Amino acid sequence: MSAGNSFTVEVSAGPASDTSSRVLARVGAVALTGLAGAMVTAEAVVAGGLPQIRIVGLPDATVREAADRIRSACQQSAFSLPGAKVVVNLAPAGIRKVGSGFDLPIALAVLCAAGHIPPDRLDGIVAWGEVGLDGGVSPSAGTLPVATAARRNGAGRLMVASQALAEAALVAGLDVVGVDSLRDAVAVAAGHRSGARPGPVAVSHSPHGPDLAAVRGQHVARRCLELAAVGGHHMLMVGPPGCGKSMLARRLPSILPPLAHEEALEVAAIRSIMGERVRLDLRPPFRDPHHATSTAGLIGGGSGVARPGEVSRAHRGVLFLDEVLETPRATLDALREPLETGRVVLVRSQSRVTYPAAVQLVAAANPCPCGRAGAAGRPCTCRPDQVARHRSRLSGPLLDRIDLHLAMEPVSQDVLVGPSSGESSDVVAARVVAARALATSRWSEFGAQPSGPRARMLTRDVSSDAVRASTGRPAQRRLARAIEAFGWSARAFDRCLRVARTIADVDGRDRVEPADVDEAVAHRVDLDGPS
Amino acid sequence: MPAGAGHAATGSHGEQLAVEHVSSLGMEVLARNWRISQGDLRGELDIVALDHLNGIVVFVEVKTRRGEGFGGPLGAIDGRKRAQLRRLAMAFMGQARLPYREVRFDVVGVRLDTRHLHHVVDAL
Repeated sequence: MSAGNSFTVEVSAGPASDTSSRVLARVGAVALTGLAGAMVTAEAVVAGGLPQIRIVGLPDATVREAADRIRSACQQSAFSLPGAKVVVNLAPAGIRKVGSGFDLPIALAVLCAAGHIPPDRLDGIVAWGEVGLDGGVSPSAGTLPVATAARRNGAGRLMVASQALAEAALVAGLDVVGVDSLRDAVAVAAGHRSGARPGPVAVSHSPHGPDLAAVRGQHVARRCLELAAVGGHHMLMVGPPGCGKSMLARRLPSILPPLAHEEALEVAAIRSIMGERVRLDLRPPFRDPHHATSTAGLIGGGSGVARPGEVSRAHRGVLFLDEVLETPRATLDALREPLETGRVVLVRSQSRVTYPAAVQLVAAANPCPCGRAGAAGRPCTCRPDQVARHRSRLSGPLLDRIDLHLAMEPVSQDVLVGPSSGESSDVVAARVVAARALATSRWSEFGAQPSGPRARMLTRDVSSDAVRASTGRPAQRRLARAIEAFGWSARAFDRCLRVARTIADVDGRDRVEPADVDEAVAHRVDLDGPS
Repeated sequence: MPAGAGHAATGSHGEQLAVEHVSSLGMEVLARNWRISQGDLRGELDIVALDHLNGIVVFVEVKTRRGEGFGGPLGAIDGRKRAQLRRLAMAFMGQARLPYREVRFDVVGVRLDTRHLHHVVDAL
């Protein structure tokens, strides 16, 4: 071949060239820090230089990788990219941008800068989704909190992957559109196609799992479980292996009232940032982390932006810690703050994240290492010092926050063999709903404020003043005498009074009787029994 | 160019086309395939040319491709390649006696299959 005469020659200028004719494309996105979202704009401009997509504005590794995904996706979707550098800026540049959800807004901005979408068509659009190498758009973690932030900041429209449409549509009053591919996204943005629209919001009430009817005997324990469900009280069960501790704990969600819409949304938001399938489920969550779970796994952790732990995944529901005395004390003590405030604050060098963690704690333990202390039948083989060390794992301050302490006995043979006589979950749940309604209406009458960021007022959480004001003098005098006799703290007085209040609520009485106080004291004193 | 020719042949063919293109723009080609191996600096400058019109020394990197793939010829220049080109250019400036002090880096991408030559001026 001779010279390059037959070649087409294109000469393009570098960075120093004229800027007046360039398109500045803008697409909205949301930067999440935990559940909180801040509005971000993905701006793209074709600059001179070698062809590449350069992303600036504090992107993390995932966001920086978007350049490669988008380049391939554009190629697969037959969108030509400019033979020059495209600079994408995520403004404001001071906020850390995390997650593959930035793929879609960046891709739209790049394609707009490349002339495939008229710039004015992107006004008011916020996008969130992951772009695959083949040009497909799939859901990215955090769609729900992104939608919430978009709605709060007055975004005109949110574009997500079709598969994330139902999740984004949980946020009322937001125009949501779903796309399957980059081609789809461009057609929808340009107005050539309308895109997928969400159906009506589906609220599910997942089956409550095991039923209380299967529990034989254990009448005191059943009573305690009902009190816990009504007042939201934390509960500790101590008893030999096989007496039904886990069995009871797993049935607590079956008698809890359904979540309010707002609460279910909070639960769904946590699931969303964990990248799980999200739906609006009114059944309170139940989490039972293994006793070897680390502190970070329990309360949340991780470098950069900390992720939620089990205590946040159990938000508005039940956190069940089986074999609680096998868990290191430091890990358990980390639970004190969330139990007190209903949230977890995780501070890292680059970020400070708050996750909700309003949980009801149910803990179970064996009375001693061999598990037979205090039970009839075979005697305990543990030395007293072993038993003492075993029990000391549970710190006083944590134990103090647990209102119901329950010592359980093994179920006798007659009860095991006889016909099942217990009430079913539905029967108990109906009583719980009635008792809670009674308590809630009283607390709102008292103007009691929940002590944490919580939607509902539980007897566990309302102010001490309200609890005292709603309990008669005789009951309080009775309790004061018991407290003095046992040498308990002022906090124990407060906690016991709350349980007595719940007992009266369960029985449908407005007045708290001295007998209620006696029962409440009995539910706290049990563990100091024979060892 | 014969079918099935090796990579080296592809490269030198592209470079020849680039030299002809650069010359056609009125630039004077000073050097081709200038090599250096000095300490940890080793590499090659494809074309060094003088742009007499603007009074600039132009270093031209040539990328030749026989087909689609790896994002086209111009996508092959990454940050490391860029840094190396700068160091090579400095070494060249130190050794050669040149009439100009200003420099510019151009990239010429050659697609042999589509017969397309893309010259990016001031690319780095």
